[in-house]
Amino acid sequence: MSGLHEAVRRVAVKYGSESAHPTHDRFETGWAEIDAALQGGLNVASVHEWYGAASAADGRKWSAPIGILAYLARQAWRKNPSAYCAWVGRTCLPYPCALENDLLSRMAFVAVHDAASRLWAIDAALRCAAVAVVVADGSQFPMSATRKLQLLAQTNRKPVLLARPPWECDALSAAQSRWLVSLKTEKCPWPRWIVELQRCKGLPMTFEKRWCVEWQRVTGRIHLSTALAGDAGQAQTTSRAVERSA
Amino acid sequence: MAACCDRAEARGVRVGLSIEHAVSLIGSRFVAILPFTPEADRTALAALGRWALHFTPVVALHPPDGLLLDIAGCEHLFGGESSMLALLAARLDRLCLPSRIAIAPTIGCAIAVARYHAAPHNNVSVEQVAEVLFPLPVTALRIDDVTADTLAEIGIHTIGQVHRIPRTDLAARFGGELLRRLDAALGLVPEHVEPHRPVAPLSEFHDFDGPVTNLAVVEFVAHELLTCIVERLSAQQHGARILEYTIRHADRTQSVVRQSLTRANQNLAHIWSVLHPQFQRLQSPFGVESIRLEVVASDTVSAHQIPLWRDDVIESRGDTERAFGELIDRMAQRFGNAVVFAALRVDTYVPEQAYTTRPHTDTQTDKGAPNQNVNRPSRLFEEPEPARVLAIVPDGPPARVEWRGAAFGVQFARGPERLALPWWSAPVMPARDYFEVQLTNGRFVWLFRESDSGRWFVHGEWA
Amino acid sequence: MPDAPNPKARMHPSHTSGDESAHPRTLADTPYAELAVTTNFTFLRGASHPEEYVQRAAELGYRAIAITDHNTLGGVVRAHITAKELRIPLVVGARLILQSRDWFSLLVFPTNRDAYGRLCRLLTLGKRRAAKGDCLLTLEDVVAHSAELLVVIVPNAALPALIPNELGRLRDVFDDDRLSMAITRLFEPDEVDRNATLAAWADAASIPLVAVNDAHYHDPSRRLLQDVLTCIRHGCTIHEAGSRLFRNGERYLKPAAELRRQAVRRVPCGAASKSPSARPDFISTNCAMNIRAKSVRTDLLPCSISKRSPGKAFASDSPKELAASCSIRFTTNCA
Repeated sequence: MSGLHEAVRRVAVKYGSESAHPTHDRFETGWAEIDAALQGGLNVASVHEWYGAASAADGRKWSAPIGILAYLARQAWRKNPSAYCAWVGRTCLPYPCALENDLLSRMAFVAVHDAASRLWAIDAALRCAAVAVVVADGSQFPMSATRKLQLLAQTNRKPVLLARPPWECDALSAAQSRWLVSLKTEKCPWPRWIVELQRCKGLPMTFEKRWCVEWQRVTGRIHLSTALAGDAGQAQTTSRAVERSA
Repeated sequence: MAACCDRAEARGVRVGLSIEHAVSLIGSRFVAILPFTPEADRTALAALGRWALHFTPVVALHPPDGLLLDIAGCEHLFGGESSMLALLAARLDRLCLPSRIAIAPTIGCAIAVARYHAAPHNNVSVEQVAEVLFPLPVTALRIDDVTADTLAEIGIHTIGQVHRIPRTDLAARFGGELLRRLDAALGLVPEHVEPHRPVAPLSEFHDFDGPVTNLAVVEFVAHELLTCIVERLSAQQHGARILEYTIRHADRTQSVVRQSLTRANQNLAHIWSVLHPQFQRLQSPFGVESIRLEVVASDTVSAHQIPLWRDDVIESRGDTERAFGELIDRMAQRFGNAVVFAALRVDTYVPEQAYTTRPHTDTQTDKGAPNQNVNRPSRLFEEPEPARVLAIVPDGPPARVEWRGAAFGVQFARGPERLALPWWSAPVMPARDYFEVQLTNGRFVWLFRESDSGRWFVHGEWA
Repeated sequence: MPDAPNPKARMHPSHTSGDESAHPRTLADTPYAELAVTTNFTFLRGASHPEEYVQRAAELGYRAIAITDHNTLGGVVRAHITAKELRIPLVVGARLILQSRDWFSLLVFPTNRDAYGRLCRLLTLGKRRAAKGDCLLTLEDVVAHSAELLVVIVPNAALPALIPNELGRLRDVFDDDRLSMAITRLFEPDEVDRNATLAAWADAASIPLVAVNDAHYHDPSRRLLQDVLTCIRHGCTIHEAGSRLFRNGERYLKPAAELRRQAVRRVPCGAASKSPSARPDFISTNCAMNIRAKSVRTDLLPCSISKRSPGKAFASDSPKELAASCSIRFTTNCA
């Protein structure tokens, strides 16, 4: 009977007679402290911007935080594994061998370059019922484009993860949350990044906003890092204590 | 030797002999040398199968040279089983096809009797099954050669002898297959005819009264043809996968408009939306004479499934696939097929060949190679980028990296992982030593050194 | 807990290479013997004849060479004849693939004539249990026949967490300093970390390390043949074989100096009680001499082995011809 009950509630939510439970609108990042800070995870029906790190010394080059985006895309996609994940943008395509097979088999790559084509492709993907999450290169998107995407994400109830270059960090944007990814410079035997939540609409920003995440060699997934600088020789640990940088 | 008549067989000719051997047995006058085309034989058999639909709607092919007709309920239309048999034999005779026909209660029995009984035409009643079957050779049971040989070795040649062996011994010594075949022939277990449905290509055709130069008219007719086709497909619960228009111009030339769809689709508006731009590019200075639309490939579509409750998305799996197919069609239509692709892991050590991209139209169920769980960067550069690297020992890890116009120290290096690249493909690539390297700014890159030249490249990064 | 490996010592190549240049002579003088050698008597795995290995080992100035085929002593006779001619000590042994112990295999070396007899009986026992061409042995069988055998653990690619416990148990079973653990330098991914882990575990269980190169062919040019054999074993084409092949072509008899340099650098100093490259010598001195004293009699070989012909298949070096001839051998053996 509980199954039927749940189904009835879903119909009620769908037709607006009952407001959806907040946690229902979120997908977990799987990073315990961040999920707690975000009250259950990233918002499903909105745009999240992830600003990558600049590649040093070559002007306008930047590296999109592909590892983190691929991980988050999988987290969002897992809520509806029969659906697909669309990945838009030629400059931020992941190396397929670093993706997990289950997601890889449900992934549609669209290797377009210019901003107008990317916007069109994201638009089409968001309107498609078969797509659960969109990851895209969001560079050179003006305010109007992000507002359009945010609206589409809201109406179609699916997340958009935009990778954006660091120099657009000050640009106006309608995205619900904005994250800054930077390299952790301390020596370490596996990649680590600092992710900083710059903005999150609808959340009181009363918590620490910087975390360190690291790539796990065995699984290829990304975890919250417990490591403090300089403990390079230690075995990778899976516990999820958080580093709070000042 | 692909086939021989009874008289030749009596002289020792067998299928599989060399030509020289056969000639030596019966003389070159009686050996016909023709190309052996099993596909053509099969096509001819399928044609005969379609012809046999006169007698019953359920016809199955039994290659290389047999047809199975399920005549249950049809025989009274031809005046009973015996007259039906006579009619069938007479009709085949008129086609100059010598025939062996058996009507029997079971498929196994019918096949055995038709192929092995002395008389060419038999009608076996339910009571006669065992009596008719037992004197026939064991090969009549559709068993493989190995089993037949094994049976022959222990002196068992007829079905009757097999039947006398206790069932448990039979199963233990020859496996379940022999027993299954025996039971099927005797009617102890049911067996069904898998019907052969002749598929005529689905097509629509329109012939204009005279050459039409107004392309709007051509477009309209093309749309009408498509409407008819989609209706016919929907009636069969099918969707189109590949559609092809053949447009004949007044100057005797042809244009072909071909469209592959990612998933089988019966949504007229969608199919037309991806086809339409191709018609807009069509040119016909002398006018169009006729237009033909053919469904080159189609697939079943589960049109109306009971929706599943799954999170907020209230839809069936079939709907998801259809919606996905339409999305990819539209994207491919706008950006070109090369830009919209799926990726598949390939089992090889060569990093740039360890995956392949292919269009989503490719619906083969290949899941790709398993996850090898080795550490690979999240981003692989399209081309390895040359770098100037200083290593302290000749085959040791890098100590200093100059790349993209900047110099970095090395904080941490892991490796080498040595990959000897394929020797069987030309040109042979030199072996590579891969290192995972953390630069002084914290960046993790995937570097390799070519073994023969000693040159270094950055091949990817953990971004 | 033993001294933790100092990461810096591994991270800075200057450090280790400095170590090496400080004692070049002593290192170069350390004798080397290859103890893990898979010949063509290991069906569709080894790509060189036993005599080729022996000859190459003599050319490279190895102190000794072992022949360790999978669950067989078949290659020993040919190796022995060549070794006698070339006056290089031959270490008779076998590699035992055990049931329900999938993280390691064992190299076993009899130290005298009686131990050799026991090893033969052990192999016969395993072969009688299994179908033709197969061998079914458990660790308990090995233990029962292990008197006066020297044993080397060769860990496989995957290292389950239970190894430290198992190592302790193995050490207790093969007491009296008869047990060693093999480490390799084959340029596999994560080999440094893996060897450091193995070294730490071995040290904790006080098992000495031994450097081996897991030779599957005597000369690097035979990698082609070895790949083809792997394809035949898996019934696939070379294009499909992918990760079933070896990652690289390092499994040959390398010059001792090169191997020693690599092996020494691989294992952090202080992790093992003895230098891993010195251990082969200990084993070879203990095993090679005694067996050589008594000539090996072919009638002692387990019956199912002596029946199989060593095979003329490798008369040519062309991989295509080899593939053809090997597939013929393969089918005739399976029929």
